[in-house]
Amino acid sequence: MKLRAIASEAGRNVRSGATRAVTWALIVLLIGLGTLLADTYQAVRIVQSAYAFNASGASVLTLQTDGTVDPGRCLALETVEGVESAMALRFTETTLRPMALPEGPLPIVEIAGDPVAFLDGSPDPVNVSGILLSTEVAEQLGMEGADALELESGERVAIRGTYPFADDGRDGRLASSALSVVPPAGHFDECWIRVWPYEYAAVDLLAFTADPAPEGASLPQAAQLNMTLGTAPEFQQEFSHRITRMAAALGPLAIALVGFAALWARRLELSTAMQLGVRKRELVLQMQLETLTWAAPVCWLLLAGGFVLLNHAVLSEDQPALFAGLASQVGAALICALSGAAAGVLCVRPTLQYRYLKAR
Amino acid sequence: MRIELAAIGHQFADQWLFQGLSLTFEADRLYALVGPSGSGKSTLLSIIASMISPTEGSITFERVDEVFWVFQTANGVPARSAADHVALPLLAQGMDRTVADPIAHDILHRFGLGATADRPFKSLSGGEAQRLMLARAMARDPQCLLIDEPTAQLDRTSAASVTTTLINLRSSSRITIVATHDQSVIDACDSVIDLTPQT
Repeated sequence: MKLRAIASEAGRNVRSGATRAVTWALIVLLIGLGTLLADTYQAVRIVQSAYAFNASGASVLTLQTDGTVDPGRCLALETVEGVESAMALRFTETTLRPMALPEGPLPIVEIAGDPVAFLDGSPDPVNVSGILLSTEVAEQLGMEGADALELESGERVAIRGTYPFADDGRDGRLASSALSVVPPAGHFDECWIRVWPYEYAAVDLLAFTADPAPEGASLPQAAQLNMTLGTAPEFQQEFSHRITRMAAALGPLAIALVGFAALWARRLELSTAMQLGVRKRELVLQMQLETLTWAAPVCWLLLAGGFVLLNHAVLSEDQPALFAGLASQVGAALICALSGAAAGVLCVRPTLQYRYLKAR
Repeated sequence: MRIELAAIGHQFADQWLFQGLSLTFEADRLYALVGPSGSGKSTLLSIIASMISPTEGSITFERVDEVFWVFQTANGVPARSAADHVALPLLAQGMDRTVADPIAHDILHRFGLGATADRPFKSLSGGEAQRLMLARAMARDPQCLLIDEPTAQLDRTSAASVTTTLINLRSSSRITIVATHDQSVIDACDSVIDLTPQT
């Protein structure tokens, strides 16, 4: 059979409905939604939980001391794998009394490090120097970003920027403070590190940042900045052991069975075609073309659905990896559908035509 | 061109359907295979079509490379047109669609099916469907054609048209064997092979 004739036969089968393309496409779509997209949705849900955990400050581990933190050692933890950023904090007795809020003095907390990047969870440095206010305080004072703050004393203090500090159950001491970025000199009271991917065991690193406590001083206390989402989430384990992962692996196999069934249901037609002189390899090619007409659009729909889902979830960092995972599964599903179809044709034997007819 | 059966016997569920059957089939002749239901007509056709092996005996094909079987039940593709059915064996021979389609239409006309060419198989009557199966077999032009009860499920008018078609199938380059109960078909054949069990 000529290639053009094979393509023409495939086209006529699809157009006439002999292929039952819509039926098989719907079945594969349901399987794809129930396995591949369900798994992507579950993965997105877990990743979103991890993002929420990180955004809440729960991935920030703190060490509180009586002024024994070495800021150099604290900031050096940024070079340790898993520690995204670090900063040292020194609480002072100095306060700012804004003219607009004279009854609400803002204690100044000296920071060694990059507080805006740290508190924003940003991997890129911001490196603002000077006085910073939390976004909420800046709003209360009617300030927008960098501006000058008029104090009760009549002085004006330049505000270099703001930092996010939500009221979401985290240690709220920085919510109504003014941060002052200072060089890492002298001793500080606390060392904060942002650990991502989160691992509570990283708290042990903080012990190396404090000098020995003087006689009678309280012992350093390690804590988590926000404990409302728990202290030991197991996102990675939850991700790698998610139940839908198995379903996603079985999805392409189920689709292979659909590909096989789509052709096995036509075994009488195929065996007759073989008896009429069509070679098996020609039928394999023709059936691959027919299978493509229903399997390829479904795969495209699954990919588009996954793309929309991932875009909607706004997981900029993990989006490419999750999409690549879905794309590889969908690609495997397409190959499985074609392989199943090829196997369906290869299993048909023209000598069993009479049996196929009786079984109809 | 001939097919020789030598002392063929076939057993089914410990019962011999037939035994010691020696027959010779030659080209340009129509053979009627008769006998009551269960006498082994379809089984004998299956043996000639090499779909099953006989329990005993041997079968020899002399210058016969292909055997084509037209079943009692017309087995077409419901959604495809009558012309598509006839064109398929022509395409399988390497013809282009532009060549195969006019030939297919011509064959359909010769079988009295010209008006049905573009109709889907599922819309054909029983007689039309059965004649279409014969027309498709002709497009394949096999050296041996086995036809199983071609008129069994047809009304009198359709059966008559199929019988006429069968007579036209006789060819010097083909052996044609028809399993049938229909006396009009039997009358149209050159030889009758009776598989009625001897008591």
